[in-house]
Amino acid sequence: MLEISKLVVAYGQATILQGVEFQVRQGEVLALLGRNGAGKSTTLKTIMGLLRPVSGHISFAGQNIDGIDPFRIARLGIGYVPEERRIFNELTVMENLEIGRQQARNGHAWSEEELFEIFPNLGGMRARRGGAMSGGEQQMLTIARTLMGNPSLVLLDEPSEGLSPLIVEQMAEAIQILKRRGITVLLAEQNLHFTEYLADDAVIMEKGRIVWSGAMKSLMADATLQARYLAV
Amino acid sequence: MILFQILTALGTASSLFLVAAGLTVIFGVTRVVNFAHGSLYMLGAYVGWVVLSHLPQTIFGFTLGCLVTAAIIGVLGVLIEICILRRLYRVPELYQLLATFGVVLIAGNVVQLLWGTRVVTLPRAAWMQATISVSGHPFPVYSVVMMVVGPLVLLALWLLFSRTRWGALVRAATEDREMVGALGIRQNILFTTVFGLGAALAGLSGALSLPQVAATSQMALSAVSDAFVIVVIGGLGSVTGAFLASVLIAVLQTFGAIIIPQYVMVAVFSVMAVVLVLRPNGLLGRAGKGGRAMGDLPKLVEGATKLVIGLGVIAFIAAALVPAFDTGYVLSIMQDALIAMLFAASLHFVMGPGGMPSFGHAAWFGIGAYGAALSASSWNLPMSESIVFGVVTASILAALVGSFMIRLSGIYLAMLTFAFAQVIWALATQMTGFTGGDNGILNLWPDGVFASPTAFYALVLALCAGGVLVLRRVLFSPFGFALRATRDASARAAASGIPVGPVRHVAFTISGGFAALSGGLFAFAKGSVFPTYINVSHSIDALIIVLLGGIQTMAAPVVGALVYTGLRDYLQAATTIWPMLLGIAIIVIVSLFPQGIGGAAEHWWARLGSRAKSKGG
Repeated sequence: MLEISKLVVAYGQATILQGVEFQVRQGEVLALLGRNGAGKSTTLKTIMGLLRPVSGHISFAGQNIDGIDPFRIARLGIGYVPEERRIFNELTVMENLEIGRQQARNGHAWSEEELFEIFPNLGGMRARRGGAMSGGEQQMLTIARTLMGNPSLVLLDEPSEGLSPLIVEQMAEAIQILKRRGITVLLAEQNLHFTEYLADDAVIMEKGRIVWSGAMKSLMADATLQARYLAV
Repeated sequence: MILFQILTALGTASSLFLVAAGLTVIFGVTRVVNFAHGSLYMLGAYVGWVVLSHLPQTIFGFTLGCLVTAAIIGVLGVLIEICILRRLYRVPELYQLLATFGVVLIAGNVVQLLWGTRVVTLPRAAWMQATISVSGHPFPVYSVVMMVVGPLVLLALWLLFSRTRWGALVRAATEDREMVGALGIRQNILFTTVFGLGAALAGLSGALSLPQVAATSQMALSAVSDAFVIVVIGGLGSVTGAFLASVLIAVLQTFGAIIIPQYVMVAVFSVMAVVLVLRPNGLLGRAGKGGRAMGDLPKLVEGATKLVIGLGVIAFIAAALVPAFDTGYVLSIMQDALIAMLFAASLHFVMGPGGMPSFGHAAWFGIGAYGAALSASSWNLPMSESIVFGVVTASILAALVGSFMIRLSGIYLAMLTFAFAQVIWALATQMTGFTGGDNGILNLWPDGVFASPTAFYALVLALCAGGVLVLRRVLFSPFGFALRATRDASARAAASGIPVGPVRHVAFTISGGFAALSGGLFAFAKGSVFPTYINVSHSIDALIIVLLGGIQTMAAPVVGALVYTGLRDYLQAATTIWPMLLGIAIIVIVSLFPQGIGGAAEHWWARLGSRAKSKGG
């Protein structure tokens, strides 16, 4: 569904991604693992069109999408949940969802009510300003807002970061629901245990390169591999 | 009587608010400070005059005419956004501002070509002069209409922003436009419609004001200056803040005009200063997300290469040899270019490495020039002492004004410096007894050992080249490094022991002093001083020189001064449509070289180098 080949991205003089290659298959949850600064967020931003690659290609559903505008990428069916959440603080929950609204895809359009079933907390604070919500609530709202665009692929950037265990659990449930609904998920994480039961496959990044890829199960069985690339 | 004045003030507030509201909304969403907003107001007045002259002199005709004018100016705004600004959203914001100034030049020139310099007025129709009685006092219907328009537009905007999807999109984009794009919203359409709306409001204001304000080609800059002041006081991006600030300014202007007519602008500026000291983000503004850098990533200013030093030495020798060949025209052109170079270098100092953009740098140039001229003509000081007097005066003033200006940064500072220059300009024009007003101060000539043109030229060359070198030396001193640290990361600089405020303050003062030196020299080079020295266009000259040269390029002021003064002098001599040509040139250059000419040259040089390397390896 998503194919990334030889992706090179630089901030000024510093090259952050140095030839990243991997694929995400339709319907799977792929964990993009790696330590802080490995290049996970940069990868997601580049897929979304927020950063322009120096070279390399990204294709989505058979279409080349590198270098095109973020709004076109979103309209093709890629949803982006940024690490910093980037909720619109001045807007209410309902307004935040409204901004995310796009046309139906494959005959289905997420409604606010459907999303409030997945994230019951949000249903109780429809008129609350984004800036007046807790971190966990904001995280749920970002995912809900992204779903309003009816994406077929969701890029999740460290959704478990800085949240309490209870909220992390809810987040994991939400990702399970997405998977059941047939939405493909690219999940960037540092937290191996969060991805353990969610992801089918995993790729590991280090210093802007993919250093390992394979089934999630094989990664979980390989303690040396974990220690080498993921232990803090 | 007081009630009447208050009503008049509220009417003025409406017309100020319409312009400022458009400016603030456009800024909020697109982050473009639209210098041309006053020009849209001016065009609204002229177009409104044409439209209203063809319509019946009734309240219905007036309303229709104003709305038609608003629509025309709105469409014009859309065209400006699509044709010019759309290409510039990725460009650093100062360059965007420069491009909108190109539009100011073009609009002003178009108006001059179509209507000349004559004052265009619309006689008040009978219904406007009719009065209604408020608590026993008669009020003209027109004043009442004007008074009501502001709050009505505020209400309409509020409904638009809070009750529609478009409004929610605008508010979302004001907060985080990149995220709005990532959610599938086509920003271009949002930007275009916002710009159109803002332009329409400015046009509406221009047409509405016609019965009380005559249309002139001068109104664009005073309107945008007022709007800047209001937007800064109200808080960037806040429509309600703009309304409150409009009322405040209108009251000050109305009562100031009665009590202290010559110092209205000083009063307005002082109020703005007080507001900003108490609330740095304006009345209803919110703190920005950290200091927005003026460029993308400011790169380090590097020491000059041997090549550049060599070229500099050759240029200096060439300049020193000029009097041997010509002591007339060429010498005076060279003198102008040298002075422009020092003036631009002082701006570059504060704006590039200092990170404090100034849109009113001519204020310091003018204070230096007037200080020198006044002390020479009133006290009969010799030239050298009067120039020193100008520099000292400007430095003291810069230290005073700087004490609150340095608290601001980015666009706020740019607007504030612009408004300050307008105050100094207004003082120079209005205090006729002291400054001679538009007639200026004449008969200033170099004396003593500098009396001959060659000797004076030598002085100019020595002081300008020397001044540039001193500024350069300061930038590579520990103070210069501290200054750049405050620009790049002021919190970190403070944490590592750099007194951020004082460092910026000293830099601001030094810059003012050197600008004043260039002004003092200019006064004696020309033999006279005029308020035009403090004009916005003169501030912009320096800005263009620095930006064209490339803000982070050390050689910028030197190269830019030579190229720009040459080009402008040539155009001015060759054609009457030079402002339009200059405006177009600015827009084209900004679109093609968003890094400045110097920056672009460096970029190409680097690319050439890396290509050669990759071929070799």
